[in-house]
Amino acid sequence: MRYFAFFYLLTTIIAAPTWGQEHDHGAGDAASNLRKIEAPKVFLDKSPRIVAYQLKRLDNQRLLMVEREITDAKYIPVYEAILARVGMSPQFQLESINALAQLQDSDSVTVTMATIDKLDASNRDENRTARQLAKTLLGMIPEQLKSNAIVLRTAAQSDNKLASAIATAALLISGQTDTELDRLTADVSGQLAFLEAITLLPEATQRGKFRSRVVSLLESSKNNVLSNATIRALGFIPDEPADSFSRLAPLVSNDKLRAATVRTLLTIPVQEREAAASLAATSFLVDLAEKTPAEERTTASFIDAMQLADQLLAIVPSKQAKSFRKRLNAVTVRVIRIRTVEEEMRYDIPYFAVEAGKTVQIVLENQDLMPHNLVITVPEALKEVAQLGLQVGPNNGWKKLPYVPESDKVLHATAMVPADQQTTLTFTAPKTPGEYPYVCTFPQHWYRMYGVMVVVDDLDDWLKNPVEPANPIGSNRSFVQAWKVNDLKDELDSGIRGRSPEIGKRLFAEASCAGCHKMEGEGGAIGPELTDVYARWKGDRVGILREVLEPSHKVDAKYVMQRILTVDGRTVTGVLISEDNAKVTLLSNPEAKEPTVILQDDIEAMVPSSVSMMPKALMDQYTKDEVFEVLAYLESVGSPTKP
Amino acid sequence: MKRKVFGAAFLFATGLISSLAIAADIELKKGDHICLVGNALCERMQHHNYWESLLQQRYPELQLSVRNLGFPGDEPYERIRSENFGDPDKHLTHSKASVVMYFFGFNESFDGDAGLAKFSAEMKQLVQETKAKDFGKGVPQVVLVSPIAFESTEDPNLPDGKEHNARLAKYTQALANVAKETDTDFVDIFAPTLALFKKSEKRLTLNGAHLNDAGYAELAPILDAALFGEGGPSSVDTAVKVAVDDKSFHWWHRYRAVNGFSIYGARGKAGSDGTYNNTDVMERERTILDQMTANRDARIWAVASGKNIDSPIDDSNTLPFITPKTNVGGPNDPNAKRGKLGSLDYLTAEEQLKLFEMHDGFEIQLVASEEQFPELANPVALNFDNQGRLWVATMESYPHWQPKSKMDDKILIFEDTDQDGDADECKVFAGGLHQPTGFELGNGGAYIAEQPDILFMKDTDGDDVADTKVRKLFGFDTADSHHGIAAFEWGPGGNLYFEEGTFKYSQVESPYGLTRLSEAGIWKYHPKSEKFGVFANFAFANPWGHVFDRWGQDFIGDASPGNSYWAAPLSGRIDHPLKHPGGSQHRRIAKTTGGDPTYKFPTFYPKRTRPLAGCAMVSSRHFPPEMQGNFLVTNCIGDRTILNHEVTEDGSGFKGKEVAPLVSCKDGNFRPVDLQIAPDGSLYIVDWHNALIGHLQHNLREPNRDHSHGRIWRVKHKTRPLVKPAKIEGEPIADLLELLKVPEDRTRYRVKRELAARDTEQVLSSLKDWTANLDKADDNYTHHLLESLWMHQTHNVVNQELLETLLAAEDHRARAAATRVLSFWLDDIPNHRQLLEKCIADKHPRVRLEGVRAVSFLSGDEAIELALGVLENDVDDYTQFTLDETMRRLEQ
Repeated sequence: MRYFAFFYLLTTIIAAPTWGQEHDHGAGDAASNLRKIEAPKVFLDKSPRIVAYQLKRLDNQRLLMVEREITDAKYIPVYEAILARVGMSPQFQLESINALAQLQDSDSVTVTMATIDKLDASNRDENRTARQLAKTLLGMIPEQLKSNAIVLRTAAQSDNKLASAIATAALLISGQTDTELDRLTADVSGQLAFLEAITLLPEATQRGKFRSRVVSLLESSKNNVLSNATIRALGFIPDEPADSFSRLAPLVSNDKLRAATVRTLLTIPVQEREAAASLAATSFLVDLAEKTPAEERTTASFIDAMQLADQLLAIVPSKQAKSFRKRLNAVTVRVIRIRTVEEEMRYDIPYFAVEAGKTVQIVLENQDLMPHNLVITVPEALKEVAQLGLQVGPNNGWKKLPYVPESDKVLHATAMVPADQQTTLTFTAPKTPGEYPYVCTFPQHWYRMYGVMVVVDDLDDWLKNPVEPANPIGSNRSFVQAWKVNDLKDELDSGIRGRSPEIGKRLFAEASCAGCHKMEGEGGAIGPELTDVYARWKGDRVGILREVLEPSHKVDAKYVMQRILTVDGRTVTGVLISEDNAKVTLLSNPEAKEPTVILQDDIEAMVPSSVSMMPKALMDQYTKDEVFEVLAYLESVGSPTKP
Repeated sequence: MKRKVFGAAFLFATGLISSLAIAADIELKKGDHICLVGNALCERMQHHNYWESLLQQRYPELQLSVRNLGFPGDEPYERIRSENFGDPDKHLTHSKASVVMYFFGFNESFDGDAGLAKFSAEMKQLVQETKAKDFGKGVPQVVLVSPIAFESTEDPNLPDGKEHNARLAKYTQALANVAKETDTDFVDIFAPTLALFKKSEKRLTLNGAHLNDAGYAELAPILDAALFGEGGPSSVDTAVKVAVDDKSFHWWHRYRAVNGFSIYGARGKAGSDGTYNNTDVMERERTILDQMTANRDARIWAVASGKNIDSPIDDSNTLPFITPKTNVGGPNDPNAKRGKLGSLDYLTAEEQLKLFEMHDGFEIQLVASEEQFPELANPVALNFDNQGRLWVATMESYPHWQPKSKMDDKILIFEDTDQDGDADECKVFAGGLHQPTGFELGNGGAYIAEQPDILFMKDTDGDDVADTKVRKLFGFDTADSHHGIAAFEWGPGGNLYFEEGTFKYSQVESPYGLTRLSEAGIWKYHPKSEKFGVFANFAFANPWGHVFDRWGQDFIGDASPGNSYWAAPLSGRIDHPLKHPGGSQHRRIAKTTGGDPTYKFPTFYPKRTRPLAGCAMVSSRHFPPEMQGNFLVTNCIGDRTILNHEVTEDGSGFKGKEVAPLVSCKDGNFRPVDLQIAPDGSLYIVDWHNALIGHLQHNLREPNRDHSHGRIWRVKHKTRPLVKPAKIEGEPIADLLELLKVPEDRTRYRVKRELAARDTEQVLSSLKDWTANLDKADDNYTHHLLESLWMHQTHNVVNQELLETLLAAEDHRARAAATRVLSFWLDDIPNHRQLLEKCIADKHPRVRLEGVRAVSFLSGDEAIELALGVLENDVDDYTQFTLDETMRRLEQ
């Protein structure tokens, strides 16, 4: 068992390969790669095979230390290596795209597309890199994409399916006539690329434009692969939800299409779900639940189906709903699936309801890159539990669970779930109705990562008429906008002018910035001190804004999150404080009183993450003015002349 | 008793050591326990007990117990040990140390000025930490002992010591400074030994760096005076020394017990009889040795105080031995089920003979058995001397000598006086040995493995009985007797190679610095220059086979997994703690040694059955032409056969294919473990002949382990004539050189061994003529030239012209061999970079691979650039591996 666990972890957790990549032997032990970092000498004037071999031997940190300039074609392999490398932060990808465009007398679209085409989408790491590059490509202005239509059209024909879809998406963004679209979707492979392209388009409005074409593909489809792709694509198009629901709901009875159908139906808001179709689907799903053998009731697709059935019960007439509920309760435990959102430090659902005294199962899927747990507390005890959890620390928690205090205010708790893993928590809901918070007690997460379990006497009544619970930490803030750099950058100069640092300072604390960053000596130490951030950025306001909104765009080497896999299978993450031959010292979280010390002998692998420890979306509950206040505060402290 | 001593008022010539008033402020109390901790200088004192004898003579009334905890290669904070050996405190506590004498500085000094600060800091820390401890007799007294000087031996093959002594002086000064800062006693033996070496007529060291017996005799009064002042005993009392020797012998076998991994390490849990496992049984024996050591302390005090005692020491106060029950036989014996077990009803040799099945055309005869020669108990290795006589190592006490019994494993010589192939007479060249897992002849004597040492024993009066015994190499680990030094083999260029198995953590000192090796590998040692290091740093299980082909390419057999490897890719430089990846033990240790844990280095033919206890290459006109170059393997568990493989060149390397076995035997007790082509071209096989075979599968004291059987067999072709044995021993150099033309690899091997022992000037002078007069039209001309090059290497004489000729030879095998020679001569060939560049661009992949391998012994970006050149051509897997590993070394 140890054997499998070990290799599972190696292949899934380690983003950057740490030993020999081609022949799989002898590129050095993981620890020493991190230990000695010297600028490597690469013989760029030698034959391509030699250069490629040398570059391949370098880990990301060393690769970035290789000399490179945009004035000499000999640096092309260096930029190509950076661009294709897993786990590179976007700033270096952009730098390489621009450099290659110049060196190859090409343009950034061609360069990016060529790189994507060379990546192997069936390899997990390369797939990730390709999708990251796709974001860059699709974020380019439509005119730029349009001027490279020939390149994109050629790439759309690639055997590399992911590259083909990305190229198609770029074409869609650049604007396509109907004739051109017809040509693109003339055969099945073109159609599949088109449907996958829909899912890659960054903006919902872009996706909506192609709804009718997706719908007609669904209507004309004669094979299941195409049908499933169509159904999946519809899930990415928020337009005409009621129509989508009516079209898809009957398909839940089709074994070959059910999984995709259920997933798409789950994306459709409850109020858009038509009653008769809902009833029919519910009826089918309840039958299905009864027919499904017990051992198959834990599969992801079954859980999805039951989630859908549970939601549809709110639409079904009460009497039938009660009967369905009874039948469902007889064969399955009610499952609530909660996912964590990558890099945003939040759960995907803000609240859910359970019936008092009934058994319920929570499946917590951690899709984030750092560990999270889920602790259910008695009403109004969220903050107290989180703070007690911090005090017990990683090793002395209730039932040995990290950061979970032994307290009568804690009802249930999961273990700390590592990245890309899941856990289940099955329990009997409290008998007393009320709003029971759930929270991640990993230090500093409780500010943002919480929700409410609403316990009600009659679940189906509540579902028919749900009431949003109160915010469990008393915050009256709600989502304003998912701020992007482009939303603010043009108004930066005028926006920052005339702000008062006192307000910014208060917001700096409220938005939990101060938990991790010092300003004039005050604040946490897990992130870089920001007192002189303005000077360090040489007054580049857009750069600072990007740091706030896209923390992973560029990560200061000193604050790279390291993920350590220990010999006995534990995962420890944190910022490296020191390392010697005997031990590694990490600061695991902003509130840790003591650094975590791990003996080198206990370390199986140590991998730097390309992702910042700082969550994204920290400003999404703040208004544009408030964002400017914070930026003005950052500026005021470092510069002697106040703005 | 308290003395102020002002020793070492020497002014060192360079002025580096100022006239410090170095005051050893040693106050010994009655019942003090003195522990010696440090490197080989310290460790070897227990084998040359002059100083302790003087100490005991000087203070018999104090009843001092001396325990030597030294290990060659130990540094203040780097002392590698096999699993669970125990940290220094554990052993100091076991010995209840009240006085700790630290011997450090020699190995550290090779780091020169760059290492001084670290050495000082570590010594300071060590002293402070030691003084803060209590090992059972209160705050220990600490004494720092300086390194000794390096002796200029005037042997041109050895360093003259000038650089060594300049460094050693600084490290001595550093120790003096630490002593002053920490208010600790310090004794300078550097300055007095420097003076001693200058005035001594006699050679006092083995190699310039390590004292020989005479050296320790001279050191004793110097150390005594430095510690306690003038006025000590004027000479060593032989009776006292005999008593100290006896005490040290018992302590040595307790502290440095062989089979440590099966005593306190992981395999201590093995060998359970339901009640007692290995740890129980063997720790009891170690306790008995502790008790016997204490009994001998008392004897020393009695003798030293002048009592005339000749009664044997009474050890009746010791605990009883634990004798485990047997796990052999019974209905569910797993070893019987797996076919590992032989039969406890041993057959006579005559009965066994009938059970052999032979390859077409071959027959087998008995050479010797325990029936005729009871000394032939548990034979493990064989060799032929330059007279053509068979030598055999036996390990009657295997797996472990038991206290209170006579330690008497042996090296035997068999004489075949009537030349009929079977032995007529058996002589004991050396007895009194412990686990001689391997041996090799050369330089007028025998190199004998006796972990943790390699002994050099010599017969000086011609009676075939060894008269001298020198611990020539030391610092090998003792973690496992059956992983001990084995498979000695002279390389074609005069290096002696020998192999060590897994679980072992060795530290070997040489005049050129310290080499550490953990978890198996092959060592290399040049007896002329005393250069010492690791040849193949690779996680073998227990490599027991190593053989060179006609062109100097070598092959390694790993016993337990039965894997055979081509050696060249595995023998580039990589330093502890890293290792080349892919051995059978690699996965277990990859975290420390580096590389993908799942990687397996390819065997050169698919292994069908395990294990491989020895290997040989057919090179004998007595064997049919189609068998020449075949790779023979002794299989003593899976098949009880001599496996037979054809070998062909394949890309940079070789590939083999199993063909019909040469010998197999239906007697399950047939345990072939070593084999060699004899001077007459026939093949001799050592039959360990034991029903039990596993080290791990039975308790070390399993009652059914056999201690009496052993056989030697001889395989002959039925119709082909034998080869006329070459006359080698004592023959004129010119005649010997002519013998370098004979086809048999083993004959040339013995000829080179003879020539290696002759006077360098005479050999080189004849060699020059011989080389000049070779017939260029001869088909074997290039090979003869290569033999000439190897003879230069053997005598540690560089011949650049000949080297370059061979690097440009038409035959790629000669170019590859010359490249290997170049890898040893890099320091002496100024244009080695240009030469290697050519090798790496050679048209044959093996030469390219050898070139890349050679680069692993260089360093810096230039070397990286050189190695990368190999990518200008296609690379096969072996070459890719060699490049990857060379890069890893250059990045290390």
